[in-house]
Amino acid sequence: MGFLEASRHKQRLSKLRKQLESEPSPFGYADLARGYLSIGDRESAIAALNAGDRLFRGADVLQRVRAAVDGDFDDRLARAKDAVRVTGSVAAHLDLADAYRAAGRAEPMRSTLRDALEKFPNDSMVLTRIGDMRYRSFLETHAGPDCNAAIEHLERAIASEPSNLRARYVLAELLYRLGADEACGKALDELLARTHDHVHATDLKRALVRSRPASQADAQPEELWSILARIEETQRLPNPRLPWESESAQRDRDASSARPEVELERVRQSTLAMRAIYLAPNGETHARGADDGFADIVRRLKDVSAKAAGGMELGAPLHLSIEAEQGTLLVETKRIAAVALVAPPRAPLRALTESARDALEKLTRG
Amino acid sequence: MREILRDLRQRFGVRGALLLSNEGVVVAADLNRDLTADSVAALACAVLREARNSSEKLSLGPLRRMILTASSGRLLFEPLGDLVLVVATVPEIDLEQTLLEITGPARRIRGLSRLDSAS
Repeated sequence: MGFLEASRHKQRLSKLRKQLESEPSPFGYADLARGYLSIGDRESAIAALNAGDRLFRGADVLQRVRAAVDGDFDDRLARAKDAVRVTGSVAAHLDLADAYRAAGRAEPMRSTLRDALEKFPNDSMVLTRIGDMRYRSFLETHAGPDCNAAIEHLERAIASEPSNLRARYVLAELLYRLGADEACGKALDELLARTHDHVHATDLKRALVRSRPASQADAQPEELWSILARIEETQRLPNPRLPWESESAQRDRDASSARPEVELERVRQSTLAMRAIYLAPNGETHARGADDGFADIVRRLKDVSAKAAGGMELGAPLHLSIEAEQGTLLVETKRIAAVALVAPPRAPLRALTESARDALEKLTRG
Repeated sequence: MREILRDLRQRFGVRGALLLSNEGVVVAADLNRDLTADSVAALACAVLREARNSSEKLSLGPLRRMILTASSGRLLFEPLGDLVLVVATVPEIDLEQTLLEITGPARRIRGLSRLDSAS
């Protein structure tokens, strides 16, 4: 590359860097790093990746470019292992966990983080990484212990370092997905009080305000934090009374617990759907004309859609429709809850979507 | 093909489009700068693969179209013979409007791919 061309290229990269300051995205930082690499400026490429990592830690696109910067995975792993042996520092452990993650080796990554936690039990970054890891695992398995562990580690990370914005954000996102809107709002307010320009927190706050029914806007159940801490116990109970609930409110809720089957049957009849299923936020499955196999299919589709939408920065998935020759499969999602239908071929998509969305809103409101 | 995709991207609300082979190889792409063909292709393929598996398990037959709507964007998948057209749009525009917008380009791509396989 000639001097002039290199100079123009640098100007373009400088423009991209400025643009990223106002509109940060992991793909933008990855592009910037690739741009620097293409002109042989490895140092600036690493700086771009580090800047991207600070905002979007763990983004796959950044990991891939970092792998290109660092040479092959084995090289990086060998260097990271050496660093753990020689320095034994927190940063070296986290770097080794990153190297395992980039190489797609989940078990050694987990064991490195566990090892780091044993050596540095109160380190905020280690606690955050473990909380983040358990949160991701919870998104895949919907298992109560993962959720509890994620909350516990993230809360400890925040207690150990109140300025840890990453831990605060991940905790807020987890609470949002659990439907704990008030606790999520509280976590976001605390985060935004420390920094006003956290892009993801601002987006989440907007989503929270949009999704919250006006009647709940002022509700402040003090005991919500303790409820979340005891989530595993409450999941074992059939329909526990929540601390802020009166006995009569609990009775009303018990009476309405039969609603999923009724609601699904109503949707099935109005849309002529052959199968209908409701995946409740607490992990329960309610089905009409469907079996466990269908529930598994819907769960897998939900997970893949969430990964794809997250990877492309499209936000949370709301709707997936698969129109095929012999029928239409529709999945309407609200955080971790979903209603799915299989309708006859060429069924009107708009009507199907509206019926499923309506049912989902009613069921999650209950 | 790239021209058709470029034309598609000029349409209201479209953030980018790419053509994939059924094996997941990017045939052509025209995407906004914030999207990269490789990453969109990899993620789109994963969704497409799962959708095809699901359709097979539920005996729904071959895919005609797939739509994934998320809070900040939408992806449309339109199988065109040996290829799959993937279109990324903003979420605000009406779904039927989007489907209308992609009908013409999809027909042109289908025509071109038939010509290619015939020659």
